[in-house]
Amino acid sequence: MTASLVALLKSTGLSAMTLGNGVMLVIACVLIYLAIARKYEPLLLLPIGFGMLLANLPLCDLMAPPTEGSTGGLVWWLYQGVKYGIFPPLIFLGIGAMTDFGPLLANPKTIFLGAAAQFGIFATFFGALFLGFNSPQAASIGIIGGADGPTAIYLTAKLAPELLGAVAIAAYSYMALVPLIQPPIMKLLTTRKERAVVMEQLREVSRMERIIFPIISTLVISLLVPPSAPLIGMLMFGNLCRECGVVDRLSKTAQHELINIITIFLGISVGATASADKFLQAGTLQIIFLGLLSFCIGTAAGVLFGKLMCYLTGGKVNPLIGSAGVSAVPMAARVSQIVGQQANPQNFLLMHAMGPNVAGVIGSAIAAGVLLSLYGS
Amino acid sequence: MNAIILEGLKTTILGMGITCLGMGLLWLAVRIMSIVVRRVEK
Repeated sequence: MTASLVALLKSTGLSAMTLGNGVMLVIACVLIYLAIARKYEPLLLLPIGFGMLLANLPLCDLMAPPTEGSTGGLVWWLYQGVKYGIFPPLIFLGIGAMTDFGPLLANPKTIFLGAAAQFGIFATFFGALFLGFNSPQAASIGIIGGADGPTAIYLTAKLAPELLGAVAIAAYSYMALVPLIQPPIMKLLTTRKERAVVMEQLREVSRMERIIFPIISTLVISLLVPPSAPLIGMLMFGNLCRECGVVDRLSKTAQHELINIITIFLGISVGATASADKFLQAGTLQIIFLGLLSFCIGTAAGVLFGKLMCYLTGGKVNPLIGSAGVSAVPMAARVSQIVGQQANPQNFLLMHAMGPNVAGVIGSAIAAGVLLSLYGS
Repeated sequence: MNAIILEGLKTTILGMGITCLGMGLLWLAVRIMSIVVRRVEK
């Protein structure tokens, strides 16, 4: 009787629980709390937190690879979509179907703000190298500054999968914290007069321009940086479905059902990579610090380039829209609008900031492609 | 230390250079496309 009881107890997860598992379960619950109570990027932090919780339950083996005697854990199979780079481009398909590139087409020079804000990625790459990370790991940490979750996951899964959990959590956490991180930097680097600049109303963009744009973007970027093609190709295909007006069913599926399903799979499987042995390391704290640095430098670079454009155009560009170049669509554009209205209540920068904001998505995908070319196997 | 600085500089220059080139080409393509489309639509 006693022997049976002991055997039964040994078969429970409680007997195999380690301190590391306990700490990870607490972190998972904190992420779930932040997603539900504080609404910090809940669409991804909730599945990531729950995936982390599942992966750290002892003896459940949800992330166990298949062996001769078992078929492998459920989450391990879902993770293959991340490992082989399938889920992030499918998320991009949905994002493309939801994105209006009109503000960028109406004011194409805002494309350069989307490029300038990518400087945070490469500056942080430098910092990560100094802290002792190898080049592929440093590239994965730097891409947090792209403020684009799927791009960060896509690159990290290919270059440094051991950092995937920490990079994804840092990326989505900082994206949720954009309204807190960006305004002090924006105010520090601009004068009240610059923040009060009112921009001209954007012109109407024709349907033909909207249809041709995804095709030429795919051609130009994929020919220059082929490793960006999965991300850019899917983003632009989704956008073409939206703009062409003849495949509404495909567009609606990409915008709703497909992106929702993939978000669940992606979030749970990325969260499940954060096992205690990989996550509870000094390197994780360094990644979180470097991620914040990357965001700050990207924001500063965007605003400084905005100031340059303001100067070159004789005061026609409000430098605040530069901070939206870090992606984080549409949160960063909203921050530009809020900070602009604080300086001038008659200022409506939202649509102007959407140009660099969507350009930032393209810019971070190009930067990821360059890093993949340099450090991918 | 020198190796780290060299590696960092190489990646930053190449990375920002190609990112800016890509975005610059995209800007050029968008400008040309807009001009052509507006002429065709007139």
